[in-house]
Amino acid sequence: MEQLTATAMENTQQITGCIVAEFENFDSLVLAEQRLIYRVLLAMLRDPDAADNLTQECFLKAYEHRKRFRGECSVRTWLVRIAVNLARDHVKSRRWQFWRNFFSASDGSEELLEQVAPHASPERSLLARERLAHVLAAVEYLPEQQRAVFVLRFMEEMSIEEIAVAMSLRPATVKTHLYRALSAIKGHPNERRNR
Amino acid sequence: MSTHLNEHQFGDLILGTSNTATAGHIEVCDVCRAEAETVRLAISRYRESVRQSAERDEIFWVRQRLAIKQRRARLHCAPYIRWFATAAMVLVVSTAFLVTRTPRPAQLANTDEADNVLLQGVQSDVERDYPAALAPAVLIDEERNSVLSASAEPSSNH
Repeated sequence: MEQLTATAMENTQQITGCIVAEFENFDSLVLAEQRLIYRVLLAMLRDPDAADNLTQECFLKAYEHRKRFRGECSVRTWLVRIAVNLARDHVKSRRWQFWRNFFSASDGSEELLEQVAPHASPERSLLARERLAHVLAAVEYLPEQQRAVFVLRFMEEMSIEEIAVAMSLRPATVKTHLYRALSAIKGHPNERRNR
Repeated sequence: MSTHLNEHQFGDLILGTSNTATAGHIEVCDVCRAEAETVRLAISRYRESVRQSAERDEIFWVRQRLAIKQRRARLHCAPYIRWFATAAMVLVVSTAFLVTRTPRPAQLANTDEADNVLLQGVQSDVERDYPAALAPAVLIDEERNSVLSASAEPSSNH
């Protein structure tokens, strides 16, 4: 029993040591994860400036609250959790953004569509653009949490368990969100065609 | 499995967590297979395009790292700056308080003198037989009385 406790304590010390080392070399952490965090925020907000600002904010928050990190998940998952929360707060505080997007000519989807199959035949390219447009529109209409789950799963290829930890949800709830998101993506083209 | 895949079965298929029954259905059902392929392809296109749109020049990432570093340094300085600002404010307020408080005794002395003068004035007014405003009338009355008494004296002499 005593041996077990000693081993557990040793493990805890090792984990704490790793965490301390990871945060001591904070610049390396930023270098390793800044692209991922920026990508997640850009996919969720589709606003490059906001994604840039919130990426900085995410790392500052992580640094500020590094003592609260207990090593229950990887630092990457913890950073994603902070980023998702920041994106959620940003959306809440910028409700008027909807009207800006509503009246603006481009919401970033044009830029995304232009990148699809540039070297394919016109017919294939058109089909690919159409498919992507449907997914983009469907993702745009997903509720905030479903969108975050979708982005983490299909863009960052995170596991259900990792997403559950990052979003403070149960794995079953994550799966339900994914089923609904996929259903929306599957159904969206038909809905649009029926209109 | 006679009907098509439901929401959960289809989701499991895309997520790669489907059971053997779903896998068997996909083998025989062209509609579900085509639908799954379409969704997979669309998601893959979405992933590619978002990743491409998130690609930036190295300058962007360097600038971002630098900004994080600067803001982190400010975070370190912030408590000291706050303490310094608080101390400076206390100093300014206490100096201002002392500066404005210094002439107060002189002002008080002036006020006391003025009060004494006022009280003396009130006291003399109270001691007067008539109000100060009626002093001219009293003078006229005294003058009239003296004239009357002077004119009455010669007639009494006769």
